[in-house]
Amino acid sequence: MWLIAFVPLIYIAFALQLTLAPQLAIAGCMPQFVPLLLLLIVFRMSGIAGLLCAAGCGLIADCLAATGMGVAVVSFTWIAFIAQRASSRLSPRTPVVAGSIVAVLVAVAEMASAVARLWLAREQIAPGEIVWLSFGNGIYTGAVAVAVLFPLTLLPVSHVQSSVTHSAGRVANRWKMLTN
Amino acid sequence: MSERGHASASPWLACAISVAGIGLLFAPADLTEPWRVLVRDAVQPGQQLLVGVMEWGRIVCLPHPETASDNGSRNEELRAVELRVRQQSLEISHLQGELRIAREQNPLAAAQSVPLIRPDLIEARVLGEEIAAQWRGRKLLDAGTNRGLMESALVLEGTRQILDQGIDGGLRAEQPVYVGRVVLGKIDLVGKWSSTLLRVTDAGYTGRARIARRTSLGLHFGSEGIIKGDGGPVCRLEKIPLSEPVGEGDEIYTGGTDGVLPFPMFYGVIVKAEPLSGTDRWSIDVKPAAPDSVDRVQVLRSTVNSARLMAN
Repeated sequence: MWLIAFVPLIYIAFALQLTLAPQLAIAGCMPQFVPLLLLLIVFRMSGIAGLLCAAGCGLIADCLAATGMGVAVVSFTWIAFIAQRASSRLSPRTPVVAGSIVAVLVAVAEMASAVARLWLAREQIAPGEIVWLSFGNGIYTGAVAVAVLFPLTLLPVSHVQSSVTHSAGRVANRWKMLTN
Repeated sequence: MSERGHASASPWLACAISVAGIGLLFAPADLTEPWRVLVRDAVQPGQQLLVGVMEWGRIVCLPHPETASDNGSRNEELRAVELRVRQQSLEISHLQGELRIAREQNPLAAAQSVPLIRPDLIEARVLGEEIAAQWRGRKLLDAGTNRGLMESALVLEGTRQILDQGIDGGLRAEQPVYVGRVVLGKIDLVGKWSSTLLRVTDAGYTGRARIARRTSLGLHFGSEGIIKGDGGPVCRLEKIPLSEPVGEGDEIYTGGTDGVLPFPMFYGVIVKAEPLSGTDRWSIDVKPAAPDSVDRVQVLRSTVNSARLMAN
């Protein structure tokens, strides 16, 4: 059910990647909307569904690429897997933490897929350029993630959530008083 | 954002998907190409919508550098164009009336049929020298290389002008390229996203062409020949017999009777015509009407009429 709900968002992300991303390029580095959305989905979506979503996005990305069918399937699946592991240890609720995870994972995925595609196309691999572009893309995407998530933190907390937070605070204070 | 008890998938599942992904690397192109086309076609409407939104935003947000006097002259031009359009629509309605009467008077009028091949013009932008140099130098591609963007080396290594449409736009080699009703050339090499333009004056260009003279009764078409480019500023029209009356100022239009386009396209004007020594043919130089620099062109694609296919 979750997957179906995300389909329009994934479509928009691909359309944005193909049209808006080149317009936003800075020194050749572009935000990667698809991995960004994928990671934001994976932070919410648990287990198998997250990996299947990543594999699906990878398959679409491979269809849009000129060479290397399957490269994005592998890279997207593994960044989704690592993101799931990371989100259980770190708290991606914070925009900066989420942005940092996105930046690192996108950079790694970009580098891996660039090397794989160039190798498959028998093209010359320029390590410096690949590292620069991959990390540039990663940092740019991480910054976009922070910019997207930060306004969400400013939204008012819902009634149910606030009451839970309030009562939890009281308990914590009492516990603190007892332990002091 | 993370849910409490957020479950990670098993690494074995990730490995299984990866193995499937690696398996796709070895999938034959015949198998993967239909899927690629399907995905590209599916994404295209979204792309077009976004491009439209971006264009609209650019028009709305960016200030127009035009001054009041420019606006005034534009308004006058607009009024003149509107007047012309009104005159032409009157003329069209008059001609439609005449056609209707003619059809009614002809008892053996043939029923109109749906054509099998339909002309389809696609607009393409000519890349400027700077952008073309960046495209050729793969500087623009570098940004997308890691997303798998790789253009045909033949297009990138060529020296001709580059159009921003390629196989993805349905372009094929030899398709004619027009600027309005004027022939600019034809598609030379086609890459995934771009193609090169062979101008009518470029060496290697050939096409069928007809001579036309303006008379008091209208345009009168004469013999058909072959128009060729040789890299110079003018084209050469060959295979026109000396029996054909030819003069400087005569116009040259596209030849052929394939009927894809309902009207001939304009090549240019004859600037020199003299008998070719030792033969019974003319040596004709044609000055092309196509402008030297253009930023947008139209490419003629011939597509099979889907209405005919669906009817069967």
